[in-house]
Parts: sequence; C-alpha cells; structure tokens
Amino acid sequence: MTGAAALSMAVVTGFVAAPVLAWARPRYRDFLAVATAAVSLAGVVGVAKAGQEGAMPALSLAPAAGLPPLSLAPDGAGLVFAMVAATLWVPAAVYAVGYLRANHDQRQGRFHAFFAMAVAAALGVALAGNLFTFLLFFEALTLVTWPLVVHRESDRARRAGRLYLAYTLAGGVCLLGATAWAWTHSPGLEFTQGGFLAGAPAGEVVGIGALLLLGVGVKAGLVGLHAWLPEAMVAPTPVSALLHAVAVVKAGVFGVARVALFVVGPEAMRESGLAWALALAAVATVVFGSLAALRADQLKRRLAYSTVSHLSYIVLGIALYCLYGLSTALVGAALHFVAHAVLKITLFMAAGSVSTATGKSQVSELGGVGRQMPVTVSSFAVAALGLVGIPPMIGFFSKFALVTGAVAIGGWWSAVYLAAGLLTAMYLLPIPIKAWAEAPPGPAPRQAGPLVVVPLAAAAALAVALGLIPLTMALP
Amino acid sequence: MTWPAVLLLPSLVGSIAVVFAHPLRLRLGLPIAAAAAGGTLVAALALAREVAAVGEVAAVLGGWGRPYGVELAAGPGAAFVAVVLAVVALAALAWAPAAAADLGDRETPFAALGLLLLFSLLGLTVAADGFTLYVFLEISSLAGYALFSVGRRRAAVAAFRYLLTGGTAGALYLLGLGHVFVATGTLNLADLAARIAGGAPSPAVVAGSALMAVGLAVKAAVFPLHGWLPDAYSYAHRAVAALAPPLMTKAAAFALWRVGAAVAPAWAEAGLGPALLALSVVGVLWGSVAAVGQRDISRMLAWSSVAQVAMVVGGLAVGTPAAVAAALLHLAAHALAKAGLFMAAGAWRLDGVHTLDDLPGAGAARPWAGAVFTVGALSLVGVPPMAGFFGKWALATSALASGAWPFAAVVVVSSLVTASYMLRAVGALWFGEAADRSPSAHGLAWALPAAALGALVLAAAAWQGPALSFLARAG
Repeated sequence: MTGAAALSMAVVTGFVAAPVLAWARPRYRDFLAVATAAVSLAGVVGVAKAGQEGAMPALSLAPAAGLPPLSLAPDGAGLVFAMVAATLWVPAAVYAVGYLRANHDQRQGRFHAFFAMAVAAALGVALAGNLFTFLLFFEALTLVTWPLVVHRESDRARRAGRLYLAYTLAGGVCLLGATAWAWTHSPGLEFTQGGFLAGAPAGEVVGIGALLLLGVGVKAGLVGLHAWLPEAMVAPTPVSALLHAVAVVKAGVFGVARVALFVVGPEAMRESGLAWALALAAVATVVFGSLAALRADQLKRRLAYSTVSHLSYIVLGIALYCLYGLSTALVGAALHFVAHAVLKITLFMAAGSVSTATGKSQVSELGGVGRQMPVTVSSFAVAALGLVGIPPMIGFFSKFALVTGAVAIGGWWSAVYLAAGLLTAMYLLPIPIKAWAEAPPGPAPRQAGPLVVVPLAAAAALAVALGLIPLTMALP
Repeated sequence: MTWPAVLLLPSLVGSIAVVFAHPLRLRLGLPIAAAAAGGTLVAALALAREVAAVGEVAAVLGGWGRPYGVELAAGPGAAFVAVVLAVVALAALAWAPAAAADLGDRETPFAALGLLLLFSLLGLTVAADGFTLYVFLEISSLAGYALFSVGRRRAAVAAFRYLLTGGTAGALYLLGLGHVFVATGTLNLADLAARIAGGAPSPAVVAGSALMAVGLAVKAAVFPLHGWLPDAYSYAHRAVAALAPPLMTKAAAFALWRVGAAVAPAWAEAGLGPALLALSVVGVLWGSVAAVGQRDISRMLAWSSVAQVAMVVGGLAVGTPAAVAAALLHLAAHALAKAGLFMAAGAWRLDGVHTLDDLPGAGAARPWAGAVFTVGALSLVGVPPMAGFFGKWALATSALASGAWPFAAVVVVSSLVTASYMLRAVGALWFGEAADRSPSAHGLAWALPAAALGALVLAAAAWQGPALSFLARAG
C-alpha cells in the first residue's frame, strides 16, 4: 500500500461508510461499524509507516479558481492526534455496538453513520496540511456531531444540541473569518513551523491569531467557551467517550497547537501577548474545571468538567512553550494529549457500563457497585489513578514532563499543575473507594455485556501498557 | 450572431403557444411551459458557449440602431445569469404539473405568465439599452402582479402592494432614464458609458442615474426598499413560490449593476456605490434578524431572501471583478437553494405543515422534501461543500482584498444568524416528536425537480471553479 492510498483511506473511509451504516441491516451494520474503525486505523498506521521510512505521504487537490488548495499533509503532531483518535476508535466502536444494543436504542443506524463521520472528520483535522482544509474538517466535525448530541431527541437533548451548535458555530464563524483574512496574506495557508503569518503586519497577525484561538478555543473548552460540553453529556455514552473526551475536544486542543505553532508562530505569540492571554485562560480553566468537577454529582458531568480542566493542562503547556521556548513543556503537552485521551475514554466507558447495568448515573448512588461490577470499577480506578498522575500509568509521565517543564520556568506555573492534580484526586478517587467500601444496596444487576466491558478493560490495559513503555526505556 | 435574441425566443413563443393551446382542452399549458424552459436552457448554454469563445455578444433588433435602438448584449456575467435563470425556471416549471394540479382552470394563465416572467427577466439581464430595459422591467412587474395574486387569501393584498411599489419603481426608473437621455442624447448603455467617461457628469445625469438606481433597487428589494417582498413571497401559491422568488430580485440586482457600471462616473459623483454597500450591510443583518422571528416557514424563507439578495448586491457594489464574480456565484447558489427550499415548504403545506411548530416528523413523512430542505438550509448557512459556502467564501475574500471589511465581516457573521433559524428548522424536521400525520401521495414528479436542484447545490465543488473562471473573462 502506498502512503498516499493509506492517507486517503484514513480520512475517507468513515465518510464512505456512513450511508452504508445508516441503511444496512443490523447484523452487517454492527460488524461494519467496527470494520470502518479498523480500516481507518490501518490507514493511519500505513501513513505513519511511510513517514518512518522517510516518505511522508501528502495529497493535494489542485486549487479551483479563488480557493486555497485542499491538502492532506501529516506531520508529527498530526500523526499523534490521528493515531490516538483512530486507535481508540476501535474499542469505542465495539463499545458503541454493545452499548446501543444493551440500551435497545431505536436509531442505531443513524448513530453509527454520524459517529463514523465524526471520527473521520477528526482524522481530517489531524492530517490537514493547510488552514483551509483544517477549517473544512473542523466545521464538518461540528455539524456531524450535532445529531449525536441530539440522539435521544428528548427536550433536554435538543436543548443541549442548540447550545452545542450555538457555541461551536460561533467558533466556526471566527475561524472562517480569520481564515479568509489570513488568506489575503498567504495564498497557500500551509502550516509551517514557526508560523506562516511570519511576514504579515503585526497588528493583523494579532487580529487573525485572536480570532483563530477563539474559534478553536470553543472546542478546546476554554473557560467561558466551555458551557456546551457538560450539557452535551446528555448524548449516549460512546459519544461522550470518544467524541467529547477524544475526537472533538482534542480537535480543539490540536487546533490551539496548530494556530500557536504553525499559523501565528511561537515568537509572534509571545511578542503579541497572545501567549500570555492563552496561558492565563488555561490557568483559569484548569482551576475552574477542577472546582466544578468537585461539585458535580452526576458522574458524566463530573467527568466532563474534569475534561475541561485537563484539556487546559495541554493548552497551558503549549502557551508555556510559546512564552519560554522550553521544549519539555511541549513534550509534556503532547504526552498529556495522549494520556488524557486513553484515560478519559476509559472513565467514560466505565460510567456508561455502570449506568447501562444499574441505571445509576449519580456519584452518590454508586455505593457498593464495585463489588457488583469488579472489572468496570477496577478499570475506572486504574484510569482515575492515571489521571491523578500515579505511576505506572501513562498519566504519570505526561504530568511529570509538564511539571518539570513548569519548574524549570518558575515555581508558580508548577503550582497550577500540582494543585490541579490534588483536585483531580479529590473528585475522582472517592468514586471507586465509595463503590468498593460500601455494601451493595441490592441484588447484583445484569452486567452490560462483554461488548461493553471488554473494550473498557482494554482501554485501561492500554493506559498501563503505554505507561510501561517509557519505564522500560528508562531501565538500563 | 444573435444568440441574445435567440435566448428570449423559447419563453416568448412558449407563452403565446400556451394561450393558443388552451381552447384545445388538452391541458398542454404546463408541459409547453416546461418544454419552453428547457429550450431556454439550451439557448442560454449556447449563448454562454458563444461568449466563452468570442467575448461580448450583441444583437440589434428592429433596425433603429444606436442611440435609440433595441439592442441586446451579453458578456460572461449576463450569460451566467441567464443560465441560472433557465435552470431554476426549468426545475420550477417541471415541478408545476404536480404542484399546480389544484389550480384547475388557472393552469393556463399560470403557465403563460410564468413563461412571460422568465422572458422578461432574461430580457432584463441582456438588455443593452435603457429603454428596452424599462420595457422588460414593466413586463416583469406585470407578470409578477398576476402571479403573486394566485395563492392564499391574503395573496391578492400582497400582490396589490407589489403593484403599487413596482409601478412607482418603474416610473422612477423611467423618469431617471429621461433625464439621462436628455442630457446625453443616448439610451444605449455602452454609448452612455463612452459619452460620460470624460470629465464630471452633469447634474441631470447624476440625478437621473440616481433615480434609475432607486427604481431598480425596489425591484431588487435592496434594504430599505424590500417592504413588498415578504408578503408577496409568503402568500404566493407553491408553484409560484418555486418560480418567482428565486429569480425576480436576482435579475433586477444584475440589471442594477449593469446600469451602475454604464454610468459609473455619475454613480461615483452621487456616492451610490458606497451607499449601496452600506445598505447591503444593513440589509443582510436586517433580513437575517427578521427571519429569526418568523414562525411561518415560507415567511422565514422570504426574509432570508432579503438578506441573501443584499449579499449579492453588496458584492456587486464592492465592484472589483473578483467581487462581481463572487456576487454572481452567490446569486446562483442562492437561487438554486432557495427554489429547492420553497418547493419543500410548498409540498409540506399540502400536509398542513405551515409553521416551525408543525415541522417535527415532516422529514420522515416526506424524505425528499426533508433532504432538499436540509441541503438548501446548509447552503444558506454556508456550510461546505454546499454552493453557499463557495459564494460566501468568494464574497468575503474579495471584499477583504478590496478593503471592504465591514461587508466581509457581515457576510461571515450573518452565517451564524442564518444558522440560528435554518438549523432550528432542520432540527425540528429530523429530531422532533412526529405528529400523527398521513402525507398525501407524492410521486416522482414532486421529488425529481427539487432533488435535481439539491444535487446542484450539493455538487457545487464541481461547478464553482469553472463558473468563476468563466466569469473572470468579464475583463
């Protein structure tokens, strides 16, 4: 398989499969949903392999009159995101099949179709080679996620859908305007290390950069732009797990990295003060998200606020890199990007497993569930410890890199990470403790089924395995 | 060659044939109308091909010659608009046999007037002298009055209102043309441009061209002269609503630009360009915000037309070749999408779906209408890869390139307002609790023309590039 074929396979598969998934018979559909994820993953792996051999593939559609070219041109950062999204898509697809079946969902075809398109759009965001292509996939991601948020079609779901669209489309409008504006300075809009706006007048760079950051900041859940995320938890759990912990929100964070490092450039970010603004917004978000998570009793809501907080760990890392040029901060950001994805998807899948089996969704109702659903709650505990930053889970290494980076710069920044870690422990760890310590309230419920439990256990195992790799590398 | 004249033939001959075929009692009116629209499309494509080969094409009729004579001319812009008019008219008239079945005896006048409207709008697009343009303007008004009066109870009142405003507009235009003619001694637009090119234009020419602009602006529904539009569009019969609203204001907007280009120095003197641009900015916002407040689907679509046409006029007012091409591209995008939207809304009205509150479940009950409505709505919002995205992108970038950033900002930001009302409808359509409702039987005759328009909107990526390079030949 050539690199270019792998590249198109990674992005196109989900879109091509969507109509088939929507109308296929249930038996074939469920199989195809998982196969779509596997084929896309194979595509991403193919791209990574070709890149390792020094022949990174790139695709570019000749620009029509008056338009920038459509271009897919993966780089290291893009491949990391694509790999994370595609890898986690496979267990999430299995989980989605099991979850929808167990909940006797009425619209499984529609769900799988839009789910596949959403991840495919996220892969497009990851692999886009210029700002225009990035914008197209980013907007596509916004729209195809809408039916998933509204999936249950209850009043609450529709209200959440409206809120979701209001925020993300407003962000999209900022992005569109800024992209058109940037285009007057750079006809190719190609992502370039150091920023493709380097030659543009400083005043305009600030304007374009601020608009772009606002646009991607909505999906990245920066405080003030985050309100859609907790409400979107009304969606079925596979959506919360893969999209609102991995694909959609990470597209926002990835967008922050793209804008800061490849559009505006670290230097211009620092000189214009945008990096400072971004850092302060990230600190505020980390603190706010943690405190809000502490107060939330509904489990998925608590996880959503935790996502808000942890996304800004990454954003803060990017901002610190722009401010001080310290690459440890950037490494930490990239690691936490991966770590949070694996850990948070595990937490969400566990939450969905519990609610499917017991119908319980409040933290306060979870006493004793640990003895009834040992695999689910153990996985939850592993992921929770990882997110707090306990070895040997991957979360330890990401936090270690972030904190050492921050320490090298000055104590104040590292205090943010340490305090947030403490808060993470305070809002996550009581959950498994309560689930094990208390006596079960009644007879054991039926388990949610292997299609639900196996993927979440696999994700937890992945979190440990990823943490063991750097550990073994550190050994002599 | 005489292609601009040939362009007008099928619709004119067709409308006469419809009348003469009526006594045969064979109900040939609507088939003839569809066939004539098809012929018009062929002629428009031939014209476009000719323009692509040789540039500007002109036809002199009647033997008067300049400076009085009847002259038709088409450059890339006019040829493009003619193709758009023909495509939408063909779809709307092919849809009519199904949609206008309840008209009964009024089928014949509908077919004849529909073709007459098409004829006059094409004429408005290719007329090369001021008086011929006036004649087509009046014919289009007359056809419009008659067509709009067919429909719901209040349609007659709306049509009467349109008659009064349209009549005044025609009179203003003629008054202005008289001033210009007396001052310059010519009616021909090209002649006129040559005669007032050097030196400052006389006050008579400035005043005259301002009056002509106001007259055409009424027909194009430029803010704040759009008052006639919402009622006329929303009370019209569904067959009329698929035909007239998508086309009428577009042809007038194009004529407005052509007159403006001919008397450019006078426009500059009167400050009409910047004024028109400012009015467009306000119009986009006004129309969008007004649409948000509507519960009636057709009325919401009508208000959205006010905003979308303002976008087209704004692009024309920016005036650089890129902006004009962008405006015409957006004109095409909006005409195709809006015709499909009105078709879907018209079909639902048969099922008793009038307002947003009736929409839940309508998508499942009539999937073709739901699909076309969704595609059209996304296009109006400007979602890629729909046609509206390319129109808005071209408008925003060309406006930015020429420093008209308030207009560019409005084009982009209005998408959000558009999303708030169009996606509200789309959401209700698919995600609502379905009311128990049995749709009346609809066959392919209902679905096909609308689906064709939807496909054109959806496949815009394929035609927008060639369209822009064709328009770039305007030079």
